[in-house]
Amino acid sequence: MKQYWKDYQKEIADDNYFYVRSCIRQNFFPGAENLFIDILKNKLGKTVFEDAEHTTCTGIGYHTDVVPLETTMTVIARQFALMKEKGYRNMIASCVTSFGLYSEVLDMWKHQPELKEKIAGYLMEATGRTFEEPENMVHASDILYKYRNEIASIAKYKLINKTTGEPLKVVDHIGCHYAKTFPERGVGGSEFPQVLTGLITAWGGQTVDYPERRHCCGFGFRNYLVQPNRGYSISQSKIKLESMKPYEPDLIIANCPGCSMFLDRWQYTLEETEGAVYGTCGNKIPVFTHEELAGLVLGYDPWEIGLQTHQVPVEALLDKIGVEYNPDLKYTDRQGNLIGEPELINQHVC
Amino acid sequence: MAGKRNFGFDIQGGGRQIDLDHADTSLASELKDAVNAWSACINCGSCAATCPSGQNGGLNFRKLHYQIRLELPTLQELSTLSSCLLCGKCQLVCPRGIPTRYLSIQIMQKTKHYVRENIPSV
Amino acid sequence: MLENENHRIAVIGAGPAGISAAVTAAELGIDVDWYDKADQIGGKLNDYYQLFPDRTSAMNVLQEFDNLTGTARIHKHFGKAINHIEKNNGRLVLMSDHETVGSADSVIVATGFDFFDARNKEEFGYGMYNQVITSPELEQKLKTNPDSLKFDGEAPANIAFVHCVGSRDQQIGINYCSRLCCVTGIKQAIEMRELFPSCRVVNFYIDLRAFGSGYEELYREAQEKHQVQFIRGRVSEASENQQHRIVLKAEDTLMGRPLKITVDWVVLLIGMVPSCTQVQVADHQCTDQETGFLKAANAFTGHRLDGQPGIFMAGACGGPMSIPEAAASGKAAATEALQYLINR
Repeated sequence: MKQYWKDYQKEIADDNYFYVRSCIRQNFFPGAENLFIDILKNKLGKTVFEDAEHTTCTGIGYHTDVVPLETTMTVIARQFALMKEKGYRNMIASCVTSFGLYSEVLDMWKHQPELKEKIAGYLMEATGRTFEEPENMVHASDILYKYRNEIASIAKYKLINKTTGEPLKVVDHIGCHYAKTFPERGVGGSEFPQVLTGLITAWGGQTVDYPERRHCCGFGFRNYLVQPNRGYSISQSKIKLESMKPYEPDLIIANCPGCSMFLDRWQYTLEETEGAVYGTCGNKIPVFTHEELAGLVLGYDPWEIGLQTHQVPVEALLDKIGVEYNPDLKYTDRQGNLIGEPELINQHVC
Repeated sequence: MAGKRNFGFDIQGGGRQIDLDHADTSLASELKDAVNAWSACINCGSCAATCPSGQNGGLNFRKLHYQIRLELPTLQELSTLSSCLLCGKCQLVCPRGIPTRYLSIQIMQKTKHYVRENIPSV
Repeated sequence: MLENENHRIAVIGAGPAGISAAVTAAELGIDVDWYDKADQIGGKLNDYYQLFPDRTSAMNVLQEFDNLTGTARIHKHFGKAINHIEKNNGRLVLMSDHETVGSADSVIVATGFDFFDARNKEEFGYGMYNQVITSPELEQKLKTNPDSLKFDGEAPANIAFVHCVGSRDQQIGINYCSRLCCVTGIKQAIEMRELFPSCRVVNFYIDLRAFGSGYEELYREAQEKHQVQFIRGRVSEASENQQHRIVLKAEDTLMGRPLKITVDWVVLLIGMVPSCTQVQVADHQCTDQETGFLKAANAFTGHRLDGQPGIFMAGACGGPMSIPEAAASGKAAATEALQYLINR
């Protein structure tokens, strides 16, 4: 497979990060954000700070026309103000839509300084704070990309099928707001982004280049939030899943919390409504977020990082890699008590 | 495996896309054999511009015969040709000199079964 | 004709424009110092297979040109790239990498063009996928190795040509039209249909520009005789499928619907950009600010370079043009150079 050659270089700060969370990532992937912070602090020795007073970036509201643009900008200015007060210049956004929105707002302020002035006025009036634009603003997957080799060097597992010795075939899906709006803000640009490809290759796997790789998964708030449009949104994920099926991928990773949820959840929905299954041997394809994948290769316990909540069961993949885990502890709490089991979907073994 | 459950929405397929990998061009081949010059059409729209049925009858002649070249149109789309008056104005104006009136007749003849049997005459 | 028999003209470039300029100047009785960065004449003509509109063999045309250049008045200095012209006491000094190589009373710049680097249009996957090639690469294959156009040892089943790659595109900052790519696409489409009669050939265009003598007729021939399919609409992306064929997504604007096709080859009709080995004239800006091509002082009356007495331009260094146009331009520049020498 050819090397993905286009190297859009991007400045990624190397320490002293201000972390802003995603509204939804923890709902679907409960362990993801804490895991990311843990990896940065305890495995890579970085300083990561998250402010208890920080809020949503209002991306969901902005994209559904519920929140006016000035409000969104003022809330974002407040995030920057909190950053400034705590003495941080480098921001990490957990959600790709947040990252896209911060980029958009910064771009608008660049082209219309009077707008920035106006927002500074609103912020002062509403909260008494002043703000400064961050020196560096990146997405969480950029950080993992930057430290992919360091992670590889302390990794316990590799993305290799332990029986055959072959690298795992990994589909990487990049959230639309990551690089399609501002290609220069994404590692690798917008047509052939490198940010997740880099992780996969550094950790021993191989990427799958399939025809609908660049297609949106359908998680546009504007459409998805309204139930009558749900079918339209899901049909986009269906196009992707159908296109990747012949390549027999072992796993899918996505850096956007919405995309991960979509590609995970809709495999169930598509099976129930259409009987379609996209993995091998009648199984579904496990979907991971980038933090979860990092946690997996670093040897965190799968149930500690929340993999049991995935719609598509992950055990087959864990076995493929050779991860050590206790299957009996899947649906137990920290004290070891069973917390109830969901209705299990039959898994086939090849 | 799983039954057909309904969650309250329909998942659509890619109905709008013209899939040239699987399109049915059998009608197009037959027409090309019958009307050699048809391949020289540049889609200028002169035929549709002058067509009386285009004004009142719902026929977009240019689009219809262009579509035939790509894929077989639906029954609905083909039936619009039934409002063609065979007046011959299109043939007078075609800059490529294509016998478009003859083309219209050929399309009607070759799709006779579809249209006559399924759509009442206009 | 000239009082001072020691007058010499320098012609920089031995492509069609340079050949025509050198030969004309020599015929008019002037000695010519002829430079080219390559070791032989012809420029890009060496790489072409057949020339539009009537599919004349490029090699035959080159041979005809070559036959004209044997005169004693032409002094060849090949293998040298002139990149700078200095003015010194009424003479023009030619320099190659800061080294003086010669001098002349008048210079004709005929340095030609470069092809657009298709890697800059990432969405087409050039440089990523083997089955995506450019029009000059196709020309080479047709000329030297048509067998390499087979796919998996068989004749290809589908080929797509993409027009306007690197031209008329705000995204890459090239807003002009390269003029000759459309007719190149038409010609190459015909050549592919002839080479592989069972192959479907589809050309994706925005506007078909077939303005020259014989071009429109070639377009009709492509449609009627060779059954090339022309689809008006842009290709948005190229991806590879498992067989390493290319899946294209496009819009059929005449139908108003999206379109998909899987092809064995994608040929990108790349545009013409200013040559990277353009000649700098002292420190004067002689290029068009928008396009980067050389600019005449007055395009309506002649080929003298903007602000430079005695320096003339010929051929595609002034903007996209075809071989006959370049040759005519070379002749004109040579005549103007002679007029300049007589009148000064």
